[in-house]
Amino acid sequence: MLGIVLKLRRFGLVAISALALLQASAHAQLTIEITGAGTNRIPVAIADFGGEASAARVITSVVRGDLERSGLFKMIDPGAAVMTEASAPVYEEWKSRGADALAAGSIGESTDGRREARFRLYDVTKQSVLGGSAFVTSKPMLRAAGHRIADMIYEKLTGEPGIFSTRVAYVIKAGAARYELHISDADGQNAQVALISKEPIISPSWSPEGGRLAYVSFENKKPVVYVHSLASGKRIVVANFKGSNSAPAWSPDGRKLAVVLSKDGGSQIFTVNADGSGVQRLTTANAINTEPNFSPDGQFVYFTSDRGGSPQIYRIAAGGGDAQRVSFEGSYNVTPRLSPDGKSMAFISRRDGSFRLSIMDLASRQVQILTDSHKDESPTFSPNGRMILIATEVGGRGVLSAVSIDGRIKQRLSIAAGDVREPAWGPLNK
Amino acid sequence: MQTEQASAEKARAQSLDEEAYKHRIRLKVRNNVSLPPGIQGNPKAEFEVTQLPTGDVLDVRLLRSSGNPALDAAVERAIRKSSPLPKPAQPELFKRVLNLSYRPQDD
Amino acid sequence: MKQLLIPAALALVMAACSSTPESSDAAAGAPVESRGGGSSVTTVTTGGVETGRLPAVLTDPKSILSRRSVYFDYDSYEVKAEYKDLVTAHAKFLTENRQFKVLIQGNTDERGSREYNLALGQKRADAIRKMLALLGAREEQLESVSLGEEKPKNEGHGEAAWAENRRGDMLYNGEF
Repeated sequence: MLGIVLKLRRFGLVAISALALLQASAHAQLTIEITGAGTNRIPVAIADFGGEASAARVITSVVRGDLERSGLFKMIDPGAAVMTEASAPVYEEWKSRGADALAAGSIGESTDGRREARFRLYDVTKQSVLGGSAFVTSKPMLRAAGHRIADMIYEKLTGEPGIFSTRVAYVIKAGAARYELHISDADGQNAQVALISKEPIISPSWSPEGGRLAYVSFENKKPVVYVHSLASGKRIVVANFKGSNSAPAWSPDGRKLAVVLSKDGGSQIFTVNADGSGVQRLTTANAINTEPNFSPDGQFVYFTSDRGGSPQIYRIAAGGGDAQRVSFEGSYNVTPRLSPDGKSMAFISRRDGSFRLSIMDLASRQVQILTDSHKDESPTFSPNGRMILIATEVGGRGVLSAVSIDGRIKQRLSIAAGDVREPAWGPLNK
Repeated sequence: MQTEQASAEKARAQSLDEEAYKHRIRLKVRNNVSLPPGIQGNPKAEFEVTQLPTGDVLDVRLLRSSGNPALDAAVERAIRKSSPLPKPAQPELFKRVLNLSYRPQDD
Repeated sequence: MKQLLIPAALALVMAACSSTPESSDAAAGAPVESRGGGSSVTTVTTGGVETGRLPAVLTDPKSILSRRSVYFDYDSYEVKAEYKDLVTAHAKFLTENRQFKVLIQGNTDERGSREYNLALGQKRADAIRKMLALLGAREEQLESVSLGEEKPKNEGHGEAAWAENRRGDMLYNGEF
């Protein structure tokens, strides 16, 4: 007993003197700990671009629109100030307007006589240049140049890649017997038609390099998997076995696809080379196995199965083996899609009869429901992992909606024509 | 005894004022933080801030990164934006060099 | 703080002056050629499927063989007793006419995931295919596929429409 008391006392003394030392140093330098944040949007001013007026207007509005729609920036009114990348900014003035960052630029001629969009980004609080660039562009590519500039501003200010120059694929049902596969910029503009068919098209999936789309077409009165090269329009049949062929998903190296085939009875997941050769069966359970999705490291295939009685999400090693169940809450969890960092999984969960976009942190298995809509389907991650694009229904019409992974930001993609469904977000534009 | 009591009281008042001073700095900087997206966990960034007696921020130095450069930059921006920093009620509480740490969330 | 010198001649390339590694990345300021052809898309239009003529016995409204649809209950993949005669008649026709083939298309209602519904429609088509085979049709005469929720017979959104869409259809060669 005595020994313990003594020890305690000695420890107490040591502790006190340590505390005294700490206090002494704390007094020499005031230590302040801060937690939390104020407004979550970064105030940024985009001055009107200089140079040829009509082209400058396009660039300015694309840059502002991209940044504003991301939900991460607050647009500060730049006033009537005429300024380009060559002007020296009056930092005090921009600070008083409330801007943390400022971008200014112009449209001019490049050395070879083409157009060039130039800009410079300033940190108003640090009074320094954050970066800048010049893009050679043609008139039809003005919007693309604007997206590139917005991407650079986004990356400099948030630390993650911007996704404004990426593309999305989606399917429009334009009539009872007209289906169109469209490719547009991430803001829904500049849509181009890749495929027109009298029969449905579903499950588009981008190849990792962004040049090809795999999808399921019903043009032969049955589901067949194609790989379509977008620039040339060349299509190859990857899977057309007896029965149904569906749900293509690229492996991260772009060499293989996981597909669902009913050729052996039931719906089973197989892997196949991108040219249609080398078919290998992956799942064996006598149940529905569908909606495969590779983890970004290529190690696992996540999929939907009703082997336990209700549709739930499982995963299996990409080389085969035993499947592990991943989803547990609720009686209908489908369409797993892994985030680009592999840490979370978007999926659709039925809650109170409504199908809602949900996200699971794979390490903790924590599930968060991100929407309050009724008919969410086909989630697809933006390549920076920040947003999830889904098809949903508003007023009985199919629309696309982008939701941030924390559920705070929701935006509708501006696509006017018909019933829109089956979105697939393309890779980063390198 | 008298003087001892008085100095204890003065120390108490001083520590209250110091708390208020820290609180006002904390509040001002915190309100100027625009968190970048995609922060994982609750990482801590530490800065050394040098200020003039007017509260004007002279220099901001990163002592320990949070591991997220975008978060470090956002906090530095918030500190600079908070210039001039609030002044203490008692001028003797003023410190030219402040040690400022930041975490996105309370525990 | 490290100062980066910006040559005046390189006015269009703007580098940052900062000690943080990301903004000292001068390469980020290098001119980038916008991609031209890389983002262009060529439009493809799919061909249709030629349909031919069928013998009258398959199309005459008075013949049982003109009926091609088997309806299923909600969440069910079993051929109900009331469709036994219909499936038996088609099995008999296929047994007697080995040159004919049948494509069985399974369908579901619109609720839930498109690909999962495709798998559910496959179960309905498989149930009809297995019954036809059991009653004498050969496997090489039969192909069961799914259209999932993609080709609803009734485009409505209530239970009445859904019941019409939980269905398997039999198509003879010439019809697909």
